[in-house]
Amino acid sequence: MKFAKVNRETCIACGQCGEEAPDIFDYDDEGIAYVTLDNNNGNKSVPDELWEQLEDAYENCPTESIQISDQPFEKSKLI
Amino acid sequence: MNQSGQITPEQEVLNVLGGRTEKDPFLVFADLREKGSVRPIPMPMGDSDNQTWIVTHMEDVKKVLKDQTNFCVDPTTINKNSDTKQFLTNSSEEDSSNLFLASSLNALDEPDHRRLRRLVSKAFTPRYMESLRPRVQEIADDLLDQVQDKGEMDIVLDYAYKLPINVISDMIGVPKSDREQIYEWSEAIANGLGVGRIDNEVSESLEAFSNYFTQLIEKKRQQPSDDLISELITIEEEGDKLTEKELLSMVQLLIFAGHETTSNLISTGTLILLDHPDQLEILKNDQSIIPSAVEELLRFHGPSTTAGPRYAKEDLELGGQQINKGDVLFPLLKSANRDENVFINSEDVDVTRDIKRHVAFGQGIHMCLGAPLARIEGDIAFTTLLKRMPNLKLNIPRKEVKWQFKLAAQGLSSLPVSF
Ligand code: HEM
Ligand code: SF4
Repeated sequence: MKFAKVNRETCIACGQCGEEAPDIFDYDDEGIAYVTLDNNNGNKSVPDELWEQLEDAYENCPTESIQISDQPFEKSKLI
Repeated sequence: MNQSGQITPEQEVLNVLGGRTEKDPFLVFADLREKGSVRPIPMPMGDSDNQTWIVTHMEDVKKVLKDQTNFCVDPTTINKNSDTKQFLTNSSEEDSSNLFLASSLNALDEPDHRRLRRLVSKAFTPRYMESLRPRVQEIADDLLDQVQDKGEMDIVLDYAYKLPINVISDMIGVPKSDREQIYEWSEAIANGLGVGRIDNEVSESLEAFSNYFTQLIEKKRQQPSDDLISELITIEEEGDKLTEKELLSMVQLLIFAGHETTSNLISTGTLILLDHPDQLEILKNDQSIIPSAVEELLRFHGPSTTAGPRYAKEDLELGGQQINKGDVLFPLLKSANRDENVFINSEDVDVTRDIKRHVAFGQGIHMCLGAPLARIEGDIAFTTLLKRMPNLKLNIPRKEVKWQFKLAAQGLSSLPVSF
C-alpha cells in the first residue's frame, strides 16, 4: 500500500505534480497542491495503477513537498 | 590559455555565458562534464577571494538549486557588505530603475522569497494559467492569419516574439497600443544584459520601462479591471500585501521572464525540428505527442543556459571539490539536461522520449513560476504552426541562421521560412 500527501507549507504552486499525476493531484484556489483522494489527509491508499504517476510526481517535485508512506498519515490533517 | 595555446573549456564557458564565442556551447559543456561535475572558472565576482564554479552534472545542479541550507541567491544573506550583487548587475541600490533585477523574487532568499512567492502565486495559479488556453490559441491564430497568404514568414519576428509578449501583456493588462513600445524597451534591455555585463544604453530603457509600469499600476489602482496587475494590487495574505516597490518589480519580472524565454522555446524549437526532418515528420503525424515533444525541446536546447548564480553559505564539498563559504556557483541547466548519466543518447533529440526530468525551468523554490503557462504556449505554438503550415521549410541557407545572446540566453535573431 502507498499513501501520499503534499506538504502544503513548502509547496510553491509550480504545477508540476498535476502534469505528472493528474489523477492524484489538484490545486486549491491559491494554486497549492493537494492529494485529491481524501483531501490531502493521506489516509486513503493510492490505487496500484497510479503508483507510476505518483513516483514521477514525487521525483519531479522541485521542493520535495510530496510525501509518500507505506502507512496512512493518520494523525495529520491539512498541513 | 593553457600550454598548447588552446582555450580551456573553463575559459570558453565564460565566453559562452557572455555571448562572446561562435563555438557550439554544447561541445564546451560536454568537455566540461567530462572533466568533472564542478569546475573552477576564471571569473572574478566582486568579493575577490572567492572562487567561481560552474556546475555541469544533473545531480549536483539539482543539489545546488534545492538545498536552501547550503546555497542562496542573495550574497548579502551571507555577508551584509558583499559587493558581488552590485558587480553582477552593475547597479547601485539607489538606482531604482535597475532595482527590479536585483530585488525581485528570483533574487530573494527565504523567508522573503516565500512570502512574495506565496502572494504572487495566488494570482498565478496553474488553474488560472490553464484558463488562458483559448486566448493563447486566438493569439497564435491571429499571428498566422497575418502571414498565411504570403507563403513565407520570419518565425522569430512574426510568431515566436509576438506570441508570448501578447499573452503576457494581455494577462498583465498592458493596453494593445502600448505593446510595441514595451516590446522595444524589453528588447533593448535584454540585448544589453549578460552575466556580469550591463551595457550603458540599457539604463535609459530600464528607466522608461520602469516609469511606464509605475504609471500603469497607478492607473489600475484608480480603475481596476480583470487583469493580473489589478489582482496583485488586491491580493493579500493575513493582512500582508505587496508593497508598491514589490508590485513594480514583480510586474517587470513577469514581462522579462515570460517573454524572451518563451520566444526562444518557440523559435529554437522550430529550428531544431527543421534540422531533424524525421522528428518533424513524427510530430506532423501525431500531434497528440506535442506536449511531451515540448519537454524534449526544453531538455535538448532550453532557453536558459544557466540558473542565476548561487552562493555557498558554508564550506562544503560538492562534486569532489572543496567549496568555500561565499563561493559563487553557476548551475548550468543546458549541461545538466545533456547529462549522459541521466539521459540515454543525451546529445540526440528524440521527441518520443518519455521524460519530464529536465531542469529547463530550474529546480527548488525558485523553479519557474510561469512553467505551466510556458508549456501551454509551447504546445499551442507548435500545434498551430504544424497544423496550418505543414510544409514548413527553411527559407535561407542553414549556415546563414544566426544566433544572438541576450540575458545569458542564446536565441535566434531571425528564422525565415516558407510554407
Ligand atoms: C520556456 C519558457 C521559460 C523558461 C525556460 C523559464 C526558465 C526559468 C528558470 C530556469 C527559472 C529559475 C531561475 C533560477 O533558479 O535562477 C525561472 C524562474 C522564473 N520564471 Fe521562468 N521560464 C520560462 C517562462 C516563464 C514565464 C512565461 C513566466 C511568467 C509569465 C516566467 C516567470 C518566472 C519567474 C517569476 C521566475 C522566478 C521564480 C522564483 O524565483 O521563485 N517564466 N524561469
Ligand atoms: S510539484 Fe511540488 S511544489 Fe509543485 S505544485 Fe506539486 S507539490 Fe507543489
